[in-house]
Amino acid sequence: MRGPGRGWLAAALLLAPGWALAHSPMPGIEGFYTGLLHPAGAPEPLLCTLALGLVLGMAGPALARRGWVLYLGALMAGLVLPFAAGTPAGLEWIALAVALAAAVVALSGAVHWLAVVLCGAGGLAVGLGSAPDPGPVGAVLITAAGSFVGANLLLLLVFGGVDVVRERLRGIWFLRAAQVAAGWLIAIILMWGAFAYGP
Amino acid sequence: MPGHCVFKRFLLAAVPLFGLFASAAAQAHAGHGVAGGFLSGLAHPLVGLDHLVAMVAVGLWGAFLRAPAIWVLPVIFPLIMAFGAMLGVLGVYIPAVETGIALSGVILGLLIAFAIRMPGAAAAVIVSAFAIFHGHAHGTELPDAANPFAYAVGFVIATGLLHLGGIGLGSLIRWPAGTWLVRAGGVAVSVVGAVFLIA
Repeated sequence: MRGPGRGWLAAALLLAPGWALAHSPMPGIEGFYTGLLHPAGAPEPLLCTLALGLVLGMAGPALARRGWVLYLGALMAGLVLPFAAGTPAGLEWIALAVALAAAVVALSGAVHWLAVVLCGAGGLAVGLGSAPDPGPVGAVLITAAGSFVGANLLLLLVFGGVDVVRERLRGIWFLRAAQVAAGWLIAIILMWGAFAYGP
Repeated sequence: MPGHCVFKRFLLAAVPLFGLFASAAAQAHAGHGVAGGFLSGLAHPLVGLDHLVAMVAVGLWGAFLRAPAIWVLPVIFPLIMAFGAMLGVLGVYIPAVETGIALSGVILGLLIAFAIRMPGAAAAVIVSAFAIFHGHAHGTELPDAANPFAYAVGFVIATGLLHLGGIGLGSLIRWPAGTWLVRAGGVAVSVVGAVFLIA
């Protein structure tokens, strides 16, 4: 833009400042972000998703696809189930147990159909653990949608990271790296289990 | 103007000096919350010399034992150490923990100094026995203020990185001079352990 138009535009912008609206004022959207961050912010879903991502990354594309689809279905079931049966409480330990099982499978190096089964169990556990508290239907749905997207993104992120490492470290080196990661994950799960569920 | 220059120089010197004397402790990290817990866990294995040398020694010995022990030991040690920490958190009593930690330095140091090789399973049993003591001590010394989950993550990562550091140093055994250097490191580890044993 040239000439006086530029000056008028600058003057208009100067005279008409509004509030900075970096955060959308859309009503209820905060619930979406709360749900989105929940799987990464709470230890049990985080550990579960990390372990499942590791197992899926080790499983190879065909099994990983099946595991992911089952995870999606189970996650949705876990998020929706509380609508019918009420919000469950104190079920976080299930996600931790699935995380431990998945990490043990990864440590063994023998990742097969069990990875798919664990993805189903993990999706259900993460869904139940991320189910929103009771409230207006619209707000609950928005929060549940955030949890669904967040849990998915996290799993895909971890799976993608492991897959990239698999591409670079082929064969035995990848297996050793994955087993070391699984060992460290089990150590964290054990310690957290003692802190959270101990006396 | 000379007077102006002198004043300017005075200001240039005085302002940083003023800042130096008027400064308080840097408080970017308040030592609590997630970051505080993570840093606390990360630092915990590093601050005790007896712990530190033993963990590096595991990696050094692994380098002498070669594959698969070189990868098995850094998986086994954090795993069993987390189990020991779990026992510590749960309040399970283990006798002579400090003696066990000091002995771990002495024995692992001697194994490195004499370049003793043994089957991977036997090495894993020896390392596991010592890892229980190290973990128990860390579990009972857990600072109350730390975020337990972040503490566990930092603690396991620091332990694992110390092992990897030991493996890295142990890779010097590819060269004859490096072998002697690593064996001398074993003597040093053993001496540190002996000092803690006597003290």
